[in-house]
Amino acid sequence: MQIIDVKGKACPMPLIETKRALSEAASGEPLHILLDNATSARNVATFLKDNDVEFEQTSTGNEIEIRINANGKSLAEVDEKTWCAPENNNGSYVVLMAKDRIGEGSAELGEALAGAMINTLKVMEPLPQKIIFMNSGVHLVTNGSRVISDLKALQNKGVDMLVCGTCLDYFGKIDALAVGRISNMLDILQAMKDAGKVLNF
Amino acid sequence: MQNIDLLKLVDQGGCSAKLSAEGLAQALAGLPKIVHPNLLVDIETHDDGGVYKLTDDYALIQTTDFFPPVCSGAYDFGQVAAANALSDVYAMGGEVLTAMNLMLFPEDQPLELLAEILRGGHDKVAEAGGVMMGGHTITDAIPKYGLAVTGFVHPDKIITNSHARPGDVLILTKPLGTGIIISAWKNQLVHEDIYRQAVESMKQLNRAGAAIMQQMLVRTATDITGFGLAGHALKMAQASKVSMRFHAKQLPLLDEVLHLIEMGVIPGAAFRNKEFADSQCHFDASIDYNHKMLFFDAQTSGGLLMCVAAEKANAAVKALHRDGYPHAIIIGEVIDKQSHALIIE
Repeated sequence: MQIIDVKGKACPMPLIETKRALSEAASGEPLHILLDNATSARNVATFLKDNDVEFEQTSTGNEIEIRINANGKSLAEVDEKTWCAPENNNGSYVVLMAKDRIGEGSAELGEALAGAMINTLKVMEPLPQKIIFMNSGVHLVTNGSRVISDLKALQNKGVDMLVCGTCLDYFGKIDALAVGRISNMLDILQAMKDAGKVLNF
Repeated sequence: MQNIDLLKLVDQGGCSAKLSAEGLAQALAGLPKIVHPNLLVDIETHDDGGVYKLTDDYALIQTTDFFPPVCSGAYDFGQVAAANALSDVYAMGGEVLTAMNLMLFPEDQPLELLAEILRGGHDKVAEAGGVMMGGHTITDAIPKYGLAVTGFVHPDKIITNSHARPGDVLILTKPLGTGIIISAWKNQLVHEDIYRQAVESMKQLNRAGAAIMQQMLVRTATDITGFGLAGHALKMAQASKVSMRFHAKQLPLLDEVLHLIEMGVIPGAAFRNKEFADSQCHFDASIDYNHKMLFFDAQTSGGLLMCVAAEKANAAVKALHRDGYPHAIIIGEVIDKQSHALIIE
């Protein structure tokens, strides 16, 4: 983790130093930016938002902290995206798992394929933005699943996991969720609508 | 005289001095609308100045502008602030008649500094062919300087921001990037040569540009200042009820500007301008972030953005090059009103 302390620095130094840190940081390395000027903080936040870098902002007293998380995209990826991508299809994709296996037929084979697919996802370039789990697909993210460690690895690399809350509830597995975050139909639809592509299993 | 860097006297926040266009529009919305038979151009269209008709062939243009230091040297600052204030007269197609100083000055600074600022202002007014009539000075922690200016124009030759017609070509007379370069200079991020280039550009009067507009029968123009190219173009597009298409790659730039934006030298004013104008701008997906922010960079004493009949555009650019604006270039055209006022390709 890197801490960028720009307290007391005049506009636009906070932005310059944030930008420098972003382009120098290893992809996925979290950055914490400390500021004490609300205008500078707003400008840095606008810049990050404009460039699709995800962050969280908190403030205590006069001090404002902007945290760019491990799952924040590096600026290099961001630039490439804004430069080269045609509108509405920026190479991003999400994966939808609406079953706990791939395909029909042998359940044993289907589960092995699902495991292999998730394992292989880890080396995809780029990684999916999100993986969505619905219906029996939620078994993949609950205790007892054999792909938890692979999914956790993906999550650590910044892949967002949306798990259908109604489905967890239906299977009585709300308390058994091991990876990902509980989501709803609205967010899931929004994620699929916004994605350049949906890989549907 | 002591060598004092005026920029060191400016508020440490350094995030520039103009109220946001959005906030200002809200605040002004409550004021009564002024109607008078002699008032030819009022604040309704957010034009550069007001125009008051005295006779059928003589109208007064009145305008004012002042701000904290935008450069280090006092004599430079006086000239830049004056050129900036005088510019509104030129943007309306007029000539300068008289000017008065508006000065706010810190009690604890040497008076030689004040004298140098005023000398800069006086020299610019003289260069403009105007008469300096006096002024008013009060104390303030941060120095500020500008002018109240009176100009004149024939009522039939007023140039406003509300008559742009689809088919007109958009010409910009000065390079963009003064806001970015001054911000970089304050933080020692740019070489003095580049800074000087920006100061020279800010000092240059728009007088010859205004004369060329009258020769080319231009009726719509504005000068590019604190709201940036996007902000001023937006006001012009809205007042004229048209849209405008810009070619981002054609924008004339001061040296080093793109490199500085890439470093992150984006002044606060650019973000504020973006907030105001962004929803009315459509940027093609091929426009990168740096070019986008260039559209929003606040300019001090920027160039004229003129709407020129297509058949006269090349002649106008040629005349501008001849008369001291080597960066003048066609940057877009006026089109029928679309869902977005500004379309940037």
